[in-house]
Amino acid sequence: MKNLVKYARNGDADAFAELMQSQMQNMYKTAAAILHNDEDIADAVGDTLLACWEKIGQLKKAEFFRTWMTKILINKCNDILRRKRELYYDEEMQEFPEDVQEYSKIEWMEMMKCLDEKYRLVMVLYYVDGLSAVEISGMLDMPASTVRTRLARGRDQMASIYQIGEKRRAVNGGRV
Amino acid sequence: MKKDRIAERLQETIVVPDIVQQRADLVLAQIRKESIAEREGGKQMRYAGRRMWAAVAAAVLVLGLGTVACAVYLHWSRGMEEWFDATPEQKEYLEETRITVPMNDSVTQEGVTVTAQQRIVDARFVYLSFRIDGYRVEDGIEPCFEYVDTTVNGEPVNIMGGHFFDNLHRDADGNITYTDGTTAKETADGSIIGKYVGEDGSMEYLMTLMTADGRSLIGQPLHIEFRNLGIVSKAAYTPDIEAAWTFDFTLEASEQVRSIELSQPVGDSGATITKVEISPISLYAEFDFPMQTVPIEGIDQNGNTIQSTTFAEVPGLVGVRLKDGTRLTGIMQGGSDGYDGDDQDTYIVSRGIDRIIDPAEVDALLFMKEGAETNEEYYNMPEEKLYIVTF
Repeated sequence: MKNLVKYARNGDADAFAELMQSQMQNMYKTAAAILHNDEDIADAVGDTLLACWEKIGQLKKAEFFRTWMTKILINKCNDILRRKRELYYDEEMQEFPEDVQEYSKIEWMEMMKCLDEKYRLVMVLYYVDGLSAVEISGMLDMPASTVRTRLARGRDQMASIYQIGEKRRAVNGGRV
Repeated sequence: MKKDRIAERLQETIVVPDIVQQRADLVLAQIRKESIAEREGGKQMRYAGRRMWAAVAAAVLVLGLGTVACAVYLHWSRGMEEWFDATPEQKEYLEETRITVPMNDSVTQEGVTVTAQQRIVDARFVYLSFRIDGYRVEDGIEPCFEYVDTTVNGEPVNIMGGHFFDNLHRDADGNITYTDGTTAKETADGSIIGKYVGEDGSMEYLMTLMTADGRSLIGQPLHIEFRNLGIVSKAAYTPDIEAAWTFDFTLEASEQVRSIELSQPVGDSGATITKVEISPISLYAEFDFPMQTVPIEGIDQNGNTIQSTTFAEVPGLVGVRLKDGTRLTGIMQGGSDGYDGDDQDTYIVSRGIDRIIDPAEVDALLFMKEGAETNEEYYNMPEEKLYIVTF
């Protein structure tokens, strides 16, 4: 990845495209932790790609690419969220879409839905993007201790939800 | 649920929805297009490449590849001509070696005929040209297929790039004209206006493919489906015609590859290059370079020191040196770099190049020791910034 970043910094659009395509899974999951419909996520991802291309020359070290890109993506997601809230705040917006087709995505979205909103992004940044608590703290402008607390609580929440789920499945399995 | 199970659940691969992937593809295609226009506006290397070819053409003749005259018998598409900026000698070489062949498969739907008209294929990359008749857009309006799917034996093939040809030509001095020789028009903000409809009323769609695992597509059954046609503006698609144009063909081509087994260190990088394959349109290299985790230290935006890890990579492949001493850098196009599957010892680089070279004339690969400081340096990298691996 480091070489792709170097090529991209030198204006190689093919390398940039390859680099960003390799980040699509992570970008989607991060954006889905903040935004709640795929159209908005598509806008945020599109805006992020343009911003990254415009600014990648300013990225001093290739090693920082992931955190730098994720920070831009989060800002773009927050911009969209802010605009939407200004236009029409609606509790319904907080629900994930019902029209998702792919099973893997439904399961993943359901899992996100079970997590309290304030834990979602921190959990995705830590477990999906592989960022450390310190990096997340810098990215979200919150103390590292808060990040660690949210991670711990997010883990507890997921664990309890899935324990309940597993127990339910076991009971249902017994009946059949 | 245990901690590792939580990580596993969150890291599960999910399908990125079409609407998101499609928007990303459109934005990246737009970036590529603008980058090519910008780069070629002030670029000198393509023309250095042209001079290089004139020198090596004689060698091709002496080698007796069946070339006795410059009689080009294949009608090259406008887009392919512009893409490779090929001289008559280069065109003839690709035709003689059957790296490029004409095609003539047409599908008509809703009054729009899409014709597969030319392909340029080597072991790792495929460039395709499709002609579109029966659909027109105004100058400056960019046409776009809503979906393009490509598979081989049902497995998806990476589309590295796909766009409608804008009929723009950049000359050696960086002047931009339309391919018919007329001056390119500009918008009020200075952007060049693409002309997607040619003199004969047709349009052209160009695409580049490679397999995800880098294996050859030669002899493989390729399935391509274009769905829906409309226009794109500011990376947003506006639908017009709902239809599907489907093509199935086998990619036949001769493998004109110069393959070299060697064991040469890439400077002091720790990587040893063990295999090189050079085709007229791409470069492939394998390295003995066991995967290494590298700790890195950085500073976050609050000024705190942070620790992280990354993986070491081999120095970036930036071009080739020819037997006459000409160094061609900044020629690399898209492809793949990294480890193949579970083999964490062999690092592989597979890249297309933006011109046609004679594999027999290459005597070294060039790797980036230090990054280029300027755009000009990128295309003419000084020797002290390069690792030069000869063979």
